[in-house]
Parts: sequence; structure tokens; C-alpha cells
Amino acid sequence: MRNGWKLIVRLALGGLLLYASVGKVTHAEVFATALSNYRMLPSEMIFLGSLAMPWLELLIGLLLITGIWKSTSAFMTAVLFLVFTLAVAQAMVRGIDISCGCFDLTSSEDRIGALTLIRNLFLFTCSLFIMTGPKQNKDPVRTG
Amino acid sequence: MNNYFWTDIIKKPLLLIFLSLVLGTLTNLEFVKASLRGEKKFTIEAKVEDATARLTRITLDEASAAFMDESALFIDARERDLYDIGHIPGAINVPWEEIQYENSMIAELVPPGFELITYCDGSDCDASVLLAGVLVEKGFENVRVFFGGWVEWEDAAYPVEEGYY
Repeated sequence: MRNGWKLIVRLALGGLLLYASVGKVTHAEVFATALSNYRMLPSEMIFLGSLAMPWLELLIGLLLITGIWKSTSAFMTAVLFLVFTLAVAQAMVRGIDISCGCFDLTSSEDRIGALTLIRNLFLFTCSLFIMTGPKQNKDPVRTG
Repeated sequence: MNNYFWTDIIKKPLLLIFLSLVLGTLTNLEFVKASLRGEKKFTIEAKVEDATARLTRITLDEASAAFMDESALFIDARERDLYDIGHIPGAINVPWEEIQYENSMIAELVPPGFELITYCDGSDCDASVLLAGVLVEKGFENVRVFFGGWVEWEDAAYPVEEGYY
């Protein structure tokens, strides 16, 4: 039963990451502006992040949905949502009023706030859920 | 454990990050080229610096001419209490100290369609330049900086106005 839930959560997270990434993968410049608004990264990291982050979301989303590299994709999903949570939290603590850059890059209505923080924390918890549990040992026990 | 850690938590994620970077580069070639040529600015500070380098700075004479023929809206970037004590007549107050982290409000404070002139105390303050930089970044055109600011204006005994905005 637990595995059934894990499958559902994994598919949902995968779908969400795919949905979040499609609008961004070919719009690195717009995404770079969204990243710079968080005022937490130096230029080089914003540049590299704007190129890699959307594709990373897309690849991880695909891995989650297809079930390939399960533990890697679950681990990276957790890392992603932890980073997103921290980014929003630091912006809120510093009183920076910015748009999220999470899904729709063209909308300035998508402001960050307590809801964004709670959503990211929830998604982080979900990714921890699909990480937990004993790792299935695919290798046969070597006896000699 | 070690093997799992090395493969699933280090090697595969690094491979994915590398692959993402390659795909991101291939799908944003124009952006990458322009960035490598140094044409793109990434941090807010660099953007403002870039915008301010392109700003027109005006002298006291030019500022007073714009004041006399009412061709520009003056924006006082100083703190509220200094503005209340005295400012260029007709100037609106957009205190940089308050606005710098919430500059999405600027568009609400500054009416569109005006030629804008920012000022602060004088040449030893940079709020006027920084505010003008953000205004340019927000899409306002025709932004100039009266760098001599309040000090020069007051010394020249030009008209002043007191009170709240």
C-alpha cells in the first residue's frame, strides 16, 4: 500500500517538475532575471543556473515518471525543493517583494509569499517520502 | 552503502547537472553567446551599474531650466523627513532607503509619460543615481540625474517648497 502511495507521489512530483520546466527550458534569459531577483547568487551562478536548472527539472521529472534511477531522482527532487524553499525564505526574511519564477515566467502576479513557502515545504516533504524506505537490493547476493 | 552513495548521490546527479548544462546551452545559444561577450548583466547591482553608466547627468542650470518650463517631473530620492523640511517645488518623494528592496512599488509612485529628473542631497549621495538606474530598468525612458541635488539648488536660492507629499 505504501508503495502505491509512493508511486502516486512520484508521478505527481514528476508531472509537476515537467510542467514547471517546459516554459523555462528555452527562456534562460527570462529565468536568469527571475533568479537575479532573489539576490542570493553571484553572476556566474545565475548564468549557469539559468541554463541548467530548467533542464534539470525536466530530466528529473522524466526520471520520476519513468521510474529510472529512482533513488537519484528522489534525492535530487528533495535537494531542488529544499533549495527553492530556502530561496523563498531568505527573500521573505529580507523583505524582497518579487515574483516567484516557479512556473509562469511571464506573470508578475505570481508573487512569493507564505503560500509559496508552504507549498515548497510540502513538496520537499513529499520528495523525502519517496526517498525513504529500505533500498531494494537489485544485485543478487554474492555468495562466493 | 558506499557504493550506493558514490553512484546514486554523487555520480548520477553530477551527470544530470552536466547534461542539463549542455542541453541548456544548446537550447539558448544566442543568450549564451551574448553573455560570454559580456552583454548581459545578471545581478541587480550589475544591472543598476550598467543602467547608471548610461544615465544623463544634468547641471544646476539645466535642472532650473527644466523647472522653469515645467518640462520634467522632479523625484526627490532622500528620506521622508528631509523631503518634508524642504524640496524642489512639485517634486515627488520616492525615498531610496525605503524603496530599494521593494522597487516593484516604483511604478505605482511615479506617473508614466513624464521626463524624470532624480536628485538627492548632492554629489556625496548616490540615491539619485541608484533610483534613476532602477527607473530605467523598470522601463521609464527619459530619466536624468541632477547630481548637484538639493545642496546646489538651495545654495542657488531657487524656489523651495516644504511639507508632506
